[in-house]
Parts: sequence; C-alpha cells; structure tokens
Amino acid sequence: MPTITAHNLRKVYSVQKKRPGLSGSLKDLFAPINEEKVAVQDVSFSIDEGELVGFIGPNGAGKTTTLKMLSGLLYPTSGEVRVLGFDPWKREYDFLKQISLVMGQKNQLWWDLPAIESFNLAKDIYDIPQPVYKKTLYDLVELLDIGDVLNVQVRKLSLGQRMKAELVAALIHTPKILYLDEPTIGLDVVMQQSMRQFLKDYNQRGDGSIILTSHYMDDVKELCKHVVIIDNGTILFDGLLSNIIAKFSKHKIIEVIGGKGELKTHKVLRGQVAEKAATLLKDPSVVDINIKEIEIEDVIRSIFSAPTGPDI
Amino acid sequence: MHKYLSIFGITLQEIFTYRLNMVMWRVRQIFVFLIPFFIWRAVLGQGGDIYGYSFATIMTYLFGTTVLRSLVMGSRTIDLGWMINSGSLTIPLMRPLNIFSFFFIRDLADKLFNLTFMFIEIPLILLIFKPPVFIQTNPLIVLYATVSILLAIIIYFFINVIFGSLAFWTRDIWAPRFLLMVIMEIATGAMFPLDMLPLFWQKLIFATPFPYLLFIPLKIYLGTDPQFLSHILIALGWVFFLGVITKLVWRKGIKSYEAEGR
Repeated sequence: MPTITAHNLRKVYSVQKKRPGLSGSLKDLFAPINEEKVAVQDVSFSIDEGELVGFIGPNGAGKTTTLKMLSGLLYPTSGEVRVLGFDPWKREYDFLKQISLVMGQKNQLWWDLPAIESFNLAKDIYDIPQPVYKKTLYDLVELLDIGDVLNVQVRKLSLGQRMKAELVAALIHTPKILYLDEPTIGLDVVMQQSMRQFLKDYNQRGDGSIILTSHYMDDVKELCKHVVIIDNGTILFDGLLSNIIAKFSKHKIIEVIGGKGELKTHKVLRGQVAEKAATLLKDPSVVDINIKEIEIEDVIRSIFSAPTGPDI
Repeated sequence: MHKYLSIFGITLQEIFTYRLNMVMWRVRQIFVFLIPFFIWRAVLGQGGDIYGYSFATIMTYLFGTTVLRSLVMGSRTIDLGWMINSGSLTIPLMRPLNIFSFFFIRDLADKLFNLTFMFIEIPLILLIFKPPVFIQTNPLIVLYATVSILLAIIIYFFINVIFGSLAFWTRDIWAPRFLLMVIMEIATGAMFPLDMLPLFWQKLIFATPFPYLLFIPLKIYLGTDPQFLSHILIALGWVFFLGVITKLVWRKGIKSYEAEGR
C-alpha cells in the first residue's frame, strides 16, 4: 500500500522581478513587476511503505518544493497529496508525530544550547515515554557515534557533527516518514559516506520510508532503488534506478584491449553492438573486448543537459 | 501541557546564554526610566503642577509604567517576522504544537525573566531616585488591575503576531516594526500620562488598543480611573477583535509561507 500519493501537484510562487540598474530599482519602487514562477507543475507519483526514494535533479528543479508540499509546509497551488492517509497541509498532530523533516542547510536544533537539550525537548513535545526515549537516544547516539558532543553548544559543533545531531533530533520519535533535503550537502567525503551508511542501516532496521532529495549522484546510487528524476518542475523519470540506463541510453560502450595492453573505447548504438563487436574481434591484435553500459552519472547528466532529450 | 512547560524552560535557558545581552538589556530598562525622570524634574522639580500632575504623582506614574512595561511588553513574538523571512518558522510548524501557544509560552518566559530582574532593579531605582511609590491596598482594585494587565498581555501578543505576519507578504518588516514601536512609546502612555494630551489626540489614541497596554492598567491600579469597568470591557473587546484578526491574517499568510532557506 502506498504511504504517499501525489496527484497533479502544482506550486506557483509569485516573485518580484527586479529591473537592472539603479534606475530600474527606482522604477521597481513605484511599479513592481510580479511574475509567476512555476516551481512544480503537474507532478504525480506514489511511494510505498518502507521505500527509500531519491528525488534527483539540478538546483531549482522543484525537488525541495515537492518535499515541502509532502511535509505540509507549503500549500499546493493545485493538486492533491495524501501522506499516511492525511492531508499534510492540515498539519494534524497525528500526522506531525509520524513524520520528520531535515533540511541540510537549515539548523533545527536550539542553536545556543547543547544538542541534548533539543532532544529532551523533543521527548516532551512528542510525548515519548522515558524508557523508550532513553533506548532510542542510546541507539541513535551509538549508531552515529556522537556521544561525546551531546553536551556541547550546537553552534560549536562541526557541520558533520551537527548533521548527525540533527538526525538524532529528527528520529527520536521514530517517524514513519523521514524527509531529507540534501542531507550530505557541504559534508566531506568521509562524512558523506558515514551519513549514507547510517541511512541505509536505518532504513533496513525499520519499516519507515525515507524520501531524500540530492544532487549528488553517489547518494542516490548507494541508497535508493526507486528514483524520481525531476527537472523544471516536471518528472522525467519515476521508477527503478536500474531502469534509467535502459530507458535513456541509446548506446553501449565497447572496450577493446590490444596486444600491448592499450585500451580503446567505442560508443555504439544498442542495436549494432553485436555486429560491431564481431568486426572488432576480426582484428588479430585484439586480445579482449568488454561490453559495458554507460555510467549512470553520464546518463543523468545528459538527461539534464540536452533540451530535446538525452543523446547518449 | 507538559510540552509547553518544556518550551518555557528552554526559552529561559536560551535567554541566560547571552549573559552580556541580558545585563545590557536591564541597564537599558533603567535608562528608560532615567530620560523622562530628568525631563520631568526640569519641568516640575521646582514645584507646581501640569494638567493636575505634580512631580511626585508623575514620578509614581513613570515608575509604574517602567514596572508594567517589563511585564506587558516583554516578548519573544517580536522575532516572528524574522522567523518567517529566514524560514526558521519551519521548525515549530513541523512539530505537533499549537503555534500560538508556542509563541505565547515563550512570551511568558520572557516576562518571568523580566519580573525576576525587576526585583533587583526596583530597589535600585528606589534607592537612587526615591520616587514616591503608591501601594494599592484595596484588594478589589488590585484584582481589577490584574485583570486589566492580563488583557494587556494578550492584546500585545496579538499585535505582535499581526505585525510579524506582515513578513508573509513583504520582506520590509523593519520599518513597520520601528514605526509601531515609536507609536506605542507615545500611545501606550509609556512616556507621559495620556490625559495630558489635548482632547482630540486623546480621542484618537483611545480609538486604538494601545492605551489598554499600559495607561489604563496603571490608572486602574492607582485608583484614578473612574471608568475602569467600561475600560476593562473595552479591553476585552479588543482581545476578541484582535484575536479574530490574528486568526484571519495567520490563516491567509501561512498559505503564502515559502519556508525559504537561510
């Protein structure tokens, strides 16, 4: 059964357009130009219980706007969303108790106080019984390895430590749905890796769904089976990660290894692979050939960069 | 209820983190008393009276507004506009909390903090300036004054939410905020008793909720407001009216909330 469904979801922002230069600014003062900006246009999808779904797309594609509508933060211009049977916008307590939203660039902990204070507050806000709270906190702190910084002011934590503390705060009430907006942004490679490992483990331990947005391909490749590719507010692909290549890439790569160990690559249309391989093998200097799919990063990059559709 | 108690506690902890800020804010409170003190001493220090106020009665009045101001005008809700613009309103919105209770409880924490410090400042002001203090002994009047102060606290809360909500539609919230502060400085009676003003201005100001923040509660406490009952009723009317406006503005504004990044 799907936990999240969205039908024809659309969000339009009204933004003030600035005319260039000082004289433009003066004109804006008296006659501002308001423009409608379509952030998400007509998006529909569904997400099942326990899934780990990745929304990928370039900056400004509409990923975060979609996420905010799913969490009930933004009022959709039109369309319908259902999350766990609730209309997120109404922000009923029973709904809010079952979700959590973490925004990579935003701090949700009490900035001037040690992280543990934020956790204790969450315990009271979410009505978590003391023994349950103690156990969940212990588990999360162990898993994320931040036991030594719980009593340090949040403002003094490094970005990586802070992100981990944010996750503890977000998961302390064991939400059924965790929304993560760019969870690894700004983190170093090691920290990105440990964050991914944690999310993977966490998803496998329970039946909660995780929905994350990212523009790092590694996040998605390692974590998500189900991906939604979004650009200019529309969905370009919604399905299994493994199907992206079959759907979007017209070519395969043939690697030819010569007698001296030198490597040559050929990009060949799918239909012509067998024929081309046979031709290549006729060359007596060829020792071995490999037939490979194009890397998923390259496929996705070409989806976003080609205005008329991918050519890869 | 438990969760709001925790928010109350954590807000106080937050205030205490900024020790220097805290002390400086209190010093400011004393200066707020100093300025009108010297002005009125220059005018009335030699004796005589103006509009029925002698130096002693005006000092009692000013001392009263200084105390009341900490109680009525102590607020954390003034951050609302900033929270909307910066997107940090997202945090309380995503929790199973009543957003108005969240802000109101934070206001109460701020007021408690102010009140505690008043116990240090009041003896200090008394010691240095020796203003004549008036202790109301009639318990009924004290009760009416308390009711009037409670209404003032709620009115001020609603005014803050309404003004903060402007940020849903415009980024320019500083100027309106500042204008409101200046108007309130006069129209609440914080600087001088409102009955010193010409009748026209009095009528104008009394058509707003501002006199019910400081002037009316203080007059009731001092026992010098013969119309105190109707004034309490009008304050109650303002509570309802502003409460409805707050709800409407909020309901409309929150729909255009964009939860922008920092």
